[in-house]
Amino acid sequence: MSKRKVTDAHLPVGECITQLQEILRRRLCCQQLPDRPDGVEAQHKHLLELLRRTAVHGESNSVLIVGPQGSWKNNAAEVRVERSAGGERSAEKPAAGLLQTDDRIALKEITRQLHLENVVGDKVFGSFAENLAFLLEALKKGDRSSSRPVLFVLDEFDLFAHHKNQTLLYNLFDVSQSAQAPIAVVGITCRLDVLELLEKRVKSRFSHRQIHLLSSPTFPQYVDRVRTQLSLPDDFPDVKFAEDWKASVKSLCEDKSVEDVLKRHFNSSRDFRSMHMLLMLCLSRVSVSKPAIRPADLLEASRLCFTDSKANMLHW
Amino acid sequence: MKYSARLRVRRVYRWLGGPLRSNRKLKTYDYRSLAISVEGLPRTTVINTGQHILIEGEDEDNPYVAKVLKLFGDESGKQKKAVVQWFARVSEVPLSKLKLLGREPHPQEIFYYDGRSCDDEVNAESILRPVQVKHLDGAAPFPDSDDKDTLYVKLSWDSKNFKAVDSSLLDSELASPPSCPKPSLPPSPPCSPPTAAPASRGLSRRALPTPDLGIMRRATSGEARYSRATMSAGKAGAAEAESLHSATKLSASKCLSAKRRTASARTPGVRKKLELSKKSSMIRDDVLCQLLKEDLESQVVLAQRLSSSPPQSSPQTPLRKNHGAEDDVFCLKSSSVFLTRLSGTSSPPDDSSRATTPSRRKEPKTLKEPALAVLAEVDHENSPMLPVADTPRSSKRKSAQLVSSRIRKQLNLLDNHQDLNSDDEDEFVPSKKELQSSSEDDDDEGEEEAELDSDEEVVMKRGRHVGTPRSKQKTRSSTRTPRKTPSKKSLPCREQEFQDIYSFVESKIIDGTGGCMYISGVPGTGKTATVHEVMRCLQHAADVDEIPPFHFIEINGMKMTDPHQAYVQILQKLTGQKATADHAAALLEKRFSNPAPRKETTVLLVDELDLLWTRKQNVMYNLFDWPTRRHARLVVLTIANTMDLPERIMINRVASRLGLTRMSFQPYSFKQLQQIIMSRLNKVKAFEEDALQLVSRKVAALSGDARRCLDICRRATEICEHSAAEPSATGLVGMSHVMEALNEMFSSAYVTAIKCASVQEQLFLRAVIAEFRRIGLEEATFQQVFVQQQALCRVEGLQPVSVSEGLAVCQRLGACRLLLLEPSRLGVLQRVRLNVSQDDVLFALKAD
Repeated sequence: MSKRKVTDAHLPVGECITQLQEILRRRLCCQQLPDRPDGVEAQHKHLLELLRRTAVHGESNSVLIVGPQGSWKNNAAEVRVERSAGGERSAEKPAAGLLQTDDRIALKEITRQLHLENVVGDKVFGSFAENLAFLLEALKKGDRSSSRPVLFVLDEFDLFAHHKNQTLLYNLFDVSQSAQAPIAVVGITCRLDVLELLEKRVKSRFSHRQIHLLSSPTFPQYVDRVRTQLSLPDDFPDVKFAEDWKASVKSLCEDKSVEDVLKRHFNSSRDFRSMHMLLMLCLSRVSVSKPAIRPADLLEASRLCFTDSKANMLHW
Repeated sequence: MKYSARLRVRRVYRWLGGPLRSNRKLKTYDYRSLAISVEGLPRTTVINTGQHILIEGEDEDNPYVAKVLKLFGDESGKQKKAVVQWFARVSEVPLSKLKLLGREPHPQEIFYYDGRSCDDEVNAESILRPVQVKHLDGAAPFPDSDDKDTLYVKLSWDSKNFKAVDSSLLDSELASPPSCPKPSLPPSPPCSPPTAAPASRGLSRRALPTPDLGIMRRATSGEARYSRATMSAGKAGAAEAESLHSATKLSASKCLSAKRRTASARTPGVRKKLELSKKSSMIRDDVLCQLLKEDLESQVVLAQRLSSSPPQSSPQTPLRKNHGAEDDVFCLKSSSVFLTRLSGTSSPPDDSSRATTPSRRKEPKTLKEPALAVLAEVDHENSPMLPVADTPRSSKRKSAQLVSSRIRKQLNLLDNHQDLNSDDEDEFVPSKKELQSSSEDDDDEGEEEAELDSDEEVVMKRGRHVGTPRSKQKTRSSTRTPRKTPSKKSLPCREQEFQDIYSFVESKIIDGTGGCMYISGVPGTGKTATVHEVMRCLQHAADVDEIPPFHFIEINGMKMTDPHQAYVQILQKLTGQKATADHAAALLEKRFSNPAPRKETTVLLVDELDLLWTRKQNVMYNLFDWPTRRHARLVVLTIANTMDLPERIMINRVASRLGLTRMSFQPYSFKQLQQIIMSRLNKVKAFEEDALQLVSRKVAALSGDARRCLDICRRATEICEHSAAEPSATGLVGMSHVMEALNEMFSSAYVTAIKCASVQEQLFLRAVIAEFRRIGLEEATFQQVFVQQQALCRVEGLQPVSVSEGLAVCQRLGACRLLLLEPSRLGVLQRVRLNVSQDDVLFALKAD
């Protein structure tokens, strides 16, 4: 391939491969979102509308996004945040249930993210109680027209429901139900029965909006997704290389054995993560000497994915 | 103020010199000066009448400031009392009212206290030491002095407003006590003529009486006596009732109490007149007669109070006779002053209230004992305003009528406001500035207005993009209906509860007593909202001086991290000071159990009571014990969800203190829900009749939660809005939209989730069911299921999965809670259960 000599505008192949790997790795590892939601447009629209109302009109809202693992729940929220809050006055505040294991830590995190530490900098901010009182006061002070809407994103919402007395949830929902500072509470969880975890008072204050991100793509759609995930952006510097890559991906997806492998993956799980894992393994085999993914790579990767880990251990 | 160290040492109090004069009826002796000596120190401090003193209070760093008007004791010399004129420190003025000052208060500044509801008789033993008080001219700057012991008076404070204080009043009072030669008399500042402070009613009022010093003094002291008398009649009268039973006093007390009864029997009528003809002519005779009676009573009560020492028949001295006569005389005089005031100023609300309050204060006299009163309250729960004791029937009915008419008035106001535009709301809320102290709701109202405005904008915007004029209406409703604001202009369907709570709290405030009330009901039935509404109305009533002013404090069990934080929050909201939980508890204990001047009734709302539960239940115990204290003047309203909470979680002594005043909010019926939605819609036609019915019936059948109902409506309007583009849409929210919203909210997503699951996941579920059927149990290990799954794979013609893959599938289902799993560390041995019914699974899989 190195024979294919670089004409004026072309980069050396090594350079191209590096760039390609960088782009695709970023896409596959960092969970870069697809540009448009597939299959869940209605839900996305709903969420967008909700957040827009909070951001623009100052209505308080609370909503739960429920979907199985790997269904881009987070991304859905983030995309919406970006779109709705783009240019709007709004502060975002994600908190993850796995990190903030109790209300105390969660509150600290909230304060940090709201950039209120400066306000309370000189105070001894020791006690949890003071912290809570302060935050509630801060939220209460705002009114609908003047204050900046705050968006609370609670990742792993079900874990917040295990906090003692569900104080944090109660207070957030209470603010969202009454005419205080406009806030939107977005809970993200994969548990379908999450509402049953809520205490009755908390439940009553929650608006009972649930957005289920459940999509069932067909196999052709799945293959399509693989193709888009592997495709290069239009502004790739080396046009020639991009074309070659595109052709190779196309031929790859049409290969019969590849189709079988993908079908197996599709049957096993429909989420993005397993697909990304597979593609990642393939991508790592791309090199200067082998600047395209071949069906054999995919087969090998799939074999790796499906090995029985425990049996393997015994085998070795 | 370095006296805190001295506080620890024992102080000895004794009279200096012999009694000035004595009063046989009251069995008291007046003295001129009091000597305070500290044990172990040779120095003694002498307190004379007319001197300014510091009085021990709750806050050790800021003792109360007052001026001694009179010193007196009983014959045995055991009780030493002082009648004082209070001054308020800056810290005693509520923060919200300090704004009225319009400047930064000087740390050494105090205010001449001109308010009502203040017991001006103190135990002489609580006097700490004399202090220097200087009067400053209104415009004069505060002198720069390092002398911490000098305080400055510029203004007077009547618990509502600041007024310029007349220097001549202060100074004349200072100078007036005859023949008190003391070196420690504060040097009176150059006596400037009363400055004509702009719009100070107080000034003109104060300047009105004749400048004759003697009369001034007597008038003020008479007034002081007078209010003291009523105070003690209210407070002491009930608890002192047992002294009536002492055999020696029996005959005398009988006739006295008879007199008292006639007095109280007559006063309601007077009170009526006073209240009804606040501004118009007041019959001089009535007032005089009343004042005389009051005076008589005050003596009676004083006698009772001091009668704890065995009554001796002391010889009647002519001095005392004089005193009695003088009493009468200045009673007349003070009342005439009083009348001129009333007629002179064109009905200032302050004065009229002053006229009415004493008669109101009498009500507690009819109560026997706090505990009994509470019980009686229960008996009369439907009409809690009925006084309990043996006052004539008509007066009871009258007061009850009065209250109910007032409530009706409030309700009418509310109803009207529902129809009116938001502009008119200002009339109802008198002035936001004044309400600041508990202006939560009013703020909300302001917000509501702003909200409405912005809603209009929204409507304009959306209206443009939706197109039809009808959808404009609907969009407006979609933004307005759902908003669950506590500041509703009306609380439909809760009129009865509103009235009950209102009359309960109002009666307690007027009586100056305390009490507990327990309110229960499932979430979303308007408990908190109703109480807030009541408080708002009461605050309004207090602002127009229909009832005495009061504090409203709210704590919420959910908004604190630990039950003991309740103390901290109460203390902070009450006084603004911060303390640790233990310290706060001690301070509150002190505050509620000790008599204190200038005490207003405190209304405490405890939301989510069940979260204040501790193992020893001391938080709840204290909350319910304080109202029963004599001097607490605390009304506690508690809210929780369960009706039988007192029986279930409270130990007996706590439950008994909570008492039996209970109220339960029933879940809304569908008719009520419908009414609520209608009222929220503000008569905008946005919903089809059937749709409304459907929502309210559905919610009523499920929970009766108004929040849920409004949420559904909100969602339904949103759905309607989205589908408005269709030509078939009528613009109203119809059945289909409501159904869709209901489905969205109440249907579980299990079936959809199973439908959307991958092939292997579905196979696994099928395998689980097959395994359950095989073994006849609702539980199987992963291993067993996995074998089934392999078999199913073969049947379906799929490649069999590895154990790892199978486990991954299983975990994914577990994460969604379609399956219930044991911890995954158990590997293949973990047990698996279905979290959905088998029928659901089969249905979902079959529909594929």
